[in-house]
Amino acid sequence: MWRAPHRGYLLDVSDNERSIIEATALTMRYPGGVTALGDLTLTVRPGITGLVGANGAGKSTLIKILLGLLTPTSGAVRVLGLDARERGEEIRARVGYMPEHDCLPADVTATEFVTHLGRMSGLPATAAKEQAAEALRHVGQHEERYRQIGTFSTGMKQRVKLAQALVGDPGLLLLDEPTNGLDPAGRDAMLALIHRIGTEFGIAVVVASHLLSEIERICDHLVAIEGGKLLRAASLDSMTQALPWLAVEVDEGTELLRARLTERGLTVSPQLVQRQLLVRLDEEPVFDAVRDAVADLELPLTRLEHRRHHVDELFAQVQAEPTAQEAQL
Amino acid sequence: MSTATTPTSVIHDIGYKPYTGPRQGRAQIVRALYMHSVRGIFGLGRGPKAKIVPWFVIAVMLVPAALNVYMSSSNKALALGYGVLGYHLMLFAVLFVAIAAPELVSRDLRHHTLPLYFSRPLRRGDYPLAKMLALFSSLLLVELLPVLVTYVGQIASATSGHEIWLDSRAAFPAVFVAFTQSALLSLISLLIASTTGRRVIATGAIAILFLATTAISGVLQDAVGTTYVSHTVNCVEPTVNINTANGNVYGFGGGQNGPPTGGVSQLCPGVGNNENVTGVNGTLDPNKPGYADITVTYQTPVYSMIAKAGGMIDPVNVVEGTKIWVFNSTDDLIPNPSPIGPLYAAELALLVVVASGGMFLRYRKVSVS
Repeated sequence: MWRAPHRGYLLDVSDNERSIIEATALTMRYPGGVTALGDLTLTVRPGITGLVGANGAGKSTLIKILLGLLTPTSGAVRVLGLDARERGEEIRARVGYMPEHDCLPADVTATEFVTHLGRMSGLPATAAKEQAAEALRHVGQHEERYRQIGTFSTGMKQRVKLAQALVGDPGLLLLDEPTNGLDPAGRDAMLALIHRIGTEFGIAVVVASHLLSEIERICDHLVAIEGGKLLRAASLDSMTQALPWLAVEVDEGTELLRARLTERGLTVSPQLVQRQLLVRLDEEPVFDAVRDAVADLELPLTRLEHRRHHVDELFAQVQAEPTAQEAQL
Repeated sequence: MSTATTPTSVIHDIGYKPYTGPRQGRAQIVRALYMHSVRGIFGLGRGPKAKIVPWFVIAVMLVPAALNVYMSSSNKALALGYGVLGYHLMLFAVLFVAIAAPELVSRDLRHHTLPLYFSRPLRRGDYPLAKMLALFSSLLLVELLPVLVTYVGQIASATSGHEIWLDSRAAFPAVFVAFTQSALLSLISLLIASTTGRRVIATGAIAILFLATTAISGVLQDAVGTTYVSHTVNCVEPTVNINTANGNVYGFGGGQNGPPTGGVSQLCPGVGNNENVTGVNGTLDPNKPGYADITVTYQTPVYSMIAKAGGMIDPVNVVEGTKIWVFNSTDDLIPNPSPIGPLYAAELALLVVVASGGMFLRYRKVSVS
């Protein structure tokens, strides 16, 4: 596979050890007394990192601090080896940012728009034109580059948003909800594109999302934050292994099934959704046990799903853990 | 179709090539934003619709300038003197900023493009700075155009070095007005435009602000603040019609036998060119055949403090009042603000500071995500 060459600003660190983002005891308290981030320590390595958290978890605040636009109340943060408190300008020149919301003017062509933003990133005029064409080619908008953005579909607009972040060869891409508003096919295409950028182009990518199911498909690492605190940071494998739950959904007889399963020594957690049980996948014969129990009770089974998907459950599981343990006792 | 044909074209995936060329610093980025904004103001690189207003205004600005060149080449007084150029073309300057300011800042608000700027090396103040400089310098260019053309025309038809010197001195107030009016109009209109993402509303608000203040200011100066004092002047002048008997030698306003009202000033010293002549009466001079004793009554306006201060409501009049104070000469466009001329100058400075400060404040807290 083609590999990106060393980038100048990281020459002093070896490829494996370098960290793209390094936050230490990061705290952000707004003047109103709201604590957006509390004692957050995390390290982001090259590759694709998913940043998951519900709305209001502190994702936006973190992104602003990483861009050097907000000065944290306390703590240290380095992006691409640069101190975000003091060298925000240099960081912003080398970080591509794709905002969550619509940010495209309707009445200019994709080329003009991306070229202008390339210039705003510090590219000279000619280079900006070339790099804009390149960026639009990489996101698959080469054919439509002379069309006005207002005529684009949502999927095409998302690609142009990605292109403006990609222009000028950033060392890090911060993508905020890149699949927002896309249909399933569009999501798949966007995720494939991000995966390609993260692997083939050799650009570190941080994808902020509230949909774990999406980004788990492309991420190497996941960082979960909630209430401004680090919930979990790990490589994707360990993260998904930490969620060994089986969702069982029956149309009726939920309580009967719960009793039967608990009787057989399985850990059953209450679930937010009605008529659904979460069974901990500790031992091998869980699937068999559930199948047998449902069959014995003659319950109408509607769903049986290996659960590791939704970020809500990632949090629910953390909170539900004591409850599950209590049930075991 | 033969399968053995060699392909004439091959698609190569040339992959991703990192950019290794030069990168510019913040100052150059601000300059790029400035240039981009100036191009946007004149509709360069945009469709024909974007060019209509700016180039129409430029064309209008050139009309009096062309007339002036003609007048000076035929040795006549300027059609629109230096001192009044900026004041009389003010309507078109307002039209210019009312279209340009929303184009500069309302578009980015409407399309939420600002996060893309502020996630780049630009600092918060750089964006409004580039926008203000762009509109100021563009309007300055447009306003200086007629002054410059007139000046070149005058110099071209000047016959002596002294004349060139006099022309240059006369042009100076016009340059002053161009600078101050451009600063005031562009900063105020940008501040207004930066409050809304809807261009139509911004354009309307800017136009209404400048036109309404001009109207109110005019009412205060003329209707409310002005009273007239009558004067009578006697003089002996040759009659135009020697056979006219006693009575009204010069019918008022240029009667059958008389000169036009404007000519009175040349006949009777003391009657100014712009005075409001209300009556001219004359009898044949018994001692001097062919001459008449003429009595001219005329009114001069007396401006109350309301009239003098009335100009302070309208930015364009603030510029004019400041000009009168700075150059200590009036073109009678507005009541001479003396003795409160310094207040006009102070207001001018204050408006510039407040409007530009407001712009910087406006963009200090723009959200990025």
